[in-house]
Amino acid sequence: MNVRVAAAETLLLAGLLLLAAFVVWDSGPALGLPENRWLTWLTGFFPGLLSPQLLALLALLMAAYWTLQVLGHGQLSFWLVAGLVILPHAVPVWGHNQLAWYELLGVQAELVGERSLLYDAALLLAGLAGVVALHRVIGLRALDRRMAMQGVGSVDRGRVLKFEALLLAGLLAAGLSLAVGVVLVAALLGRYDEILAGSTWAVAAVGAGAALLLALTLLLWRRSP
Amino acid sequence: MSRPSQLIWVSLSLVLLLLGLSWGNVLLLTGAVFVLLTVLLTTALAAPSGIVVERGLSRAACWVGDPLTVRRTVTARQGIGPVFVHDELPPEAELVEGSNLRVVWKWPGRLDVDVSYGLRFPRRGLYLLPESRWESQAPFGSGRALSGEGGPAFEVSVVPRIRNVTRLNEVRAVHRTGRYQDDLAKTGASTDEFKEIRPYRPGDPFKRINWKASVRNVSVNNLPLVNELEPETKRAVWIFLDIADYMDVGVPLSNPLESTVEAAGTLAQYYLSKGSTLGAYAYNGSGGAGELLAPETGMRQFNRLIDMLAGVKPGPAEQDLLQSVERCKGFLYRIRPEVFVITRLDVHYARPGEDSAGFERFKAAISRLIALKSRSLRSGRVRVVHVEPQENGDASHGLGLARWEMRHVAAELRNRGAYVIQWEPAREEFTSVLVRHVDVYR
Repeated sequence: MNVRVAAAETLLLAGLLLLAAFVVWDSGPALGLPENRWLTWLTGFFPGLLSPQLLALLALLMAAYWTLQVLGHGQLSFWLVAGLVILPHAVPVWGHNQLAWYELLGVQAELVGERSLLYDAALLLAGLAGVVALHRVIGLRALDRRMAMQGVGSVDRGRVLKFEALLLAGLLAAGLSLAVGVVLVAALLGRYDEILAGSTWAVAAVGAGAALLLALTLLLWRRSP
Repeated sequence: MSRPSQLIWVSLSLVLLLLGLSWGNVLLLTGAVFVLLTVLLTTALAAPSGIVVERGLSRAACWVGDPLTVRRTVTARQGIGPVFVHDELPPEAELVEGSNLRVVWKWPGRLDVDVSYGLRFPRRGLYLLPESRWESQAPFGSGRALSGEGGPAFEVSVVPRIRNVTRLNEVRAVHRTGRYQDDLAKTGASTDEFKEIRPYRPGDPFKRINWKASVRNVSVNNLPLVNELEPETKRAVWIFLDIADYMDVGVPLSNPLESTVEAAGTLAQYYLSKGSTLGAYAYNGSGGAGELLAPETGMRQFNRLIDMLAGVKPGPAEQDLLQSVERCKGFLYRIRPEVFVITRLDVHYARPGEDSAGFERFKAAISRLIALKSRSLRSGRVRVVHVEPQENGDASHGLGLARWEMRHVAAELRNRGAYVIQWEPAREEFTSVLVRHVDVYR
């Protein structure tokens, strides 16, 4: 196993789990939701954020992740981590809903304006970018293992991994730039009147852009050899 | 991201998009945009294509153990990602420089890269180097990999390493005695080896007249010039090579089998350069039957021997020396040669409790060869060359026992009248052994 790739993967994993912990700690009390036992228990972990309990939990999760990886359940462990990282964002993301029909579900959270859109977007994008990066680092580790099994020299392997990592950094930078641009445009447009009941220009514009990207992706994906 | 996982990412972004639109949530939509963009970019990056592998070989034939350079260049025109280039090598080949499996990275723009490597063959034979195979992959493992072949296939002929016998030919004692004059046939057939141009003498066949040389340079008495050919000698040499699998032990480049081949080649070069007739028989080969080289003179015979030696492969010891002598007796009785037997003597030793029939047959074969009585005036002995296996740390104890067994067998053979030469290839070249034994041959 390439030690540098494994170390990068472990660091990334630790960062993502810390981020998820921070999101839970940050969003739980701020939402002002009715107190319940699980939220109290969960936020009790993070009085100073890096408490011994939190570090123990992180170590446990990372050990579980690596155990699953070693046992050959790499995909399962990745998606478990992805779920752990993304799900805590549900609460702050929920606060930015602009359509009122969700009130039919019996949940009332008039949170628009209470949390910063840019702040929550930054947290969500960091989580998503980390998950994409983790997925690719796992891929890099598999690629390195395959090359080593084939007998590729360490210099060639190192060069390929370095360039793949560079390309990944470029990919994430491009994705984040566009996403940040989208958020900024949305924030700008959000200041203007709504076009439909509860909907804004921002939602319409970003939604249309995303739909266009989806169509393009499917088209390219279909046509690729 | 491979294709199945790309589908998962597309599905994830679709979920984010639908939820974002239905809830009017800019954050979910932004997340969908980010994921979609990463999938879009990874899909758009195509694997390197337009790949051409060109290949060249420094030599099509080489000595055993000599380095060969396989020049290999890779050109790629489109795409981004890693390109794997692989040359499948015969199992006997050893890499001495670079690697036959290389991975190069292609950025946008044309890629031209040299991925040459060096190899050597520690065994004789004809080896095939098939075409280079390449495979290119898109970055992030997305998309389908492309593959193909390029560069011509090569056949490499690896011939046994034969030491230069110049040193042996320059031994003064040999020249001073002029012993080879005794061996030259005064009448009879000549070889096809050119010796010199001289004036015509009565009795010379007309077909030997060199008309062009005669016109250019008319000699004394206006006699034409004739081509003088090397006369066939009375001396004949026969080499028995033991190529059983017990010879194929130790390091490939310096195991007794390769040393046997080297010794046979050196002996052949030495005697053929002196105009002797040479025949050979390699027994215990992989095919069961031995390899026979019918006796001939001239340096073409040397090439025939090299061709034969290049192809011999060790086999089980199913054919002993006595059977080999029986098979070659037609030639042996006709040319009455001096005989060299190249083998490992320790393997012929019969340990207490073991069947000694094999050793008895070996001794019987030596006796029959001695009984041939070589035509050569000054010699007539059968020479048995013992090739010592190379010593290594772990096997040194076993080797000590083998040495004792060899001495025992050698003593028995000497009692029969054979001359035993011990050769340790790890310590000295075979030429040195021959130089040391020149006096014995006279």
